[in-house]
Amino acid sequence: MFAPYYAFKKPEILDEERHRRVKVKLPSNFAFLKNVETVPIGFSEILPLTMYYPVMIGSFRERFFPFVIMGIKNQNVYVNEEGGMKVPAVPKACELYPFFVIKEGEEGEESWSVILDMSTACRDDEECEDGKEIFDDFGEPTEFFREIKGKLTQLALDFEKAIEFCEYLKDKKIIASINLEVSCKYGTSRLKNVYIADVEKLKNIKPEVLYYLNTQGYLSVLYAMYFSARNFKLFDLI
Amino acid sequence: MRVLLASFKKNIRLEENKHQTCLIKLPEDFSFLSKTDMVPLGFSELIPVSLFYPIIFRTLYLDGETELVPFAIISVRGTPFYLNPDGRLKIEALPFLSKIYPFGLLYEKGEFFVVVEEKSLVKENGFLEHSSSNEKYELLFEKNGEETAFIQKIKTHLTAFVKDWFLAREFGKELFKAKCLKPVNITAETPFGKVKYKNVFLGDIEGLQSMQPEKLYYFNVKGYLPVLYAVFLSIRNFDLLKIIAKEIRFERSKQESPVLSQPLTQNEKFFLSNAFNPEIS
Repeated sequence: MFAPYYAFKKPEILDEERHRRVKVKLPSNFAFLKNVETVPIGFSEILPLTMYYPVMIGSFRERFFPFVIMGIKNQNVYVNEEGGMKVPAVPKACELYPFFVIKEGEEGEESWSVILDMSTACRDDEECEDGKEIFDDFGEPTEFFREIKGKLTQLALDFEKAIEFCEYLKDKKIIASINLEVSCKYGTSRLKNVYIADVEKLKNIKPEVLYYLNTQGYLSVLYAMYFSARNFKLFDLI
Repeated sequence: MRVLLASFKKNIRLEENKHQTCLIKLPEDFSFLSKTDMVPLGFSELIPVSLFYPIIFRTLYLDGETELVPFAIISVRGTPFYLNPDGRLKIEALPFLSKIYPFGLLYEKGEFFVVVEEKSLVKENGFLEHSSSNEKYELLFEKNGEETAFIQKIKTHLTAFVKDWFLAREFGKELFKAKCLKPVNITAETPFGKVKYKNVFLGDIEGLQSMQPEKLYYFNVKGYLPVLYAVFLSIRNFDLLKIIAKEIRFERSKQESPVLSQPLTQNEKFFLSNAFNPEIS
């Protein structure tokens, strides 16, 4: 679950033995996102990101999770020609590139693993002056990677919370699957089987479910996602 | 108290005996949006307008009591938010009272009067023969003194708005009673300058989250919840202006949010992004 998003050209699960002598080059801007259309996000990111991006719920292998739509037709509308972002909010997963976390394993025994885009990596013996080491000679994480790993752990926890949120909405039938046609200056694209709040159902929801949604802070997030569809308009404006 | 429900300030009451021979000049573009910074809203337009404009509640003394009434902020210091240099709008959404410009309403002692923007009224007197082809005028009254079909249509729209405005007032009253609105002073940094809004009211998410279940249920059944969230989230639209008015490049190293100068609750920090600095008054 949570397959690496499109920016990852050569994803590999990080292994202290196999990647001991690997160095990574961190990107200096967001040009690596220029062909990325969607990125999964954590629960705490949903509200701030709904300000600028359409945020919807998708499913992958029967699991539901929120994601931002950054563009269509392999074109990220939020990245400018110099590789800068046109808006002041970026999904955490993008800030941590070339690292990411994925959940793998059999159901009930799944665990999170760190992956690395090896297209940004180089070996010791190659010319790699400004690359940063991930592991030291003993296979221990370097200070640089420990810091990244801490952030990736937070991201994984936030993904878990996002999954829990989406599963609850799905379970209570508060979200509905739609096919969406997006037309903007970059062309027209169809998004199939994305989920958004079913506002009519929400209006007739049982009081105890409504109360739970409110006290959990789910209600505000749900409506923010619903209204974030207006951000498709930004595809033409920014 | 007199309350002007219009997208302009300098108004004149439309009267058959005074304006029988007058024409009304219709706008050629949307540059008239610079004439006022705020426009009152009807209930049904709160969600569509909230998607692009900040909405606040202001106190008005109406029918013997102080009420909280929703307004859309459509321009700052005479600069409309989404106006292109050619006078067109970047977006379709617009408050009803801006759509119906140069008409509006004056509410006084429980009665509504149709008003027009003073400058838009012109004496007929063969005027049309000398006007430029781009300018568009409409007659308000027939020669026999009856209203033209044009003004009748305008009045129908305005009547529908009156009903919608009463619903918006009821909404404001209920929110305040349920402690879902709180007074704030707002300082918004916009591409058109810094602007302060004093003693206005915004949605209180803390209040909503601690609302009694039965009240919450009532708000939901009544259709108030999505509107309340839409209105509260709309304050973030000050931020939208920054990216639409001028494309800003944000470097990877400069992603930190600007620091809010006033202490906010966790929920408010979460919601309000970095749009403005609310001071709890």
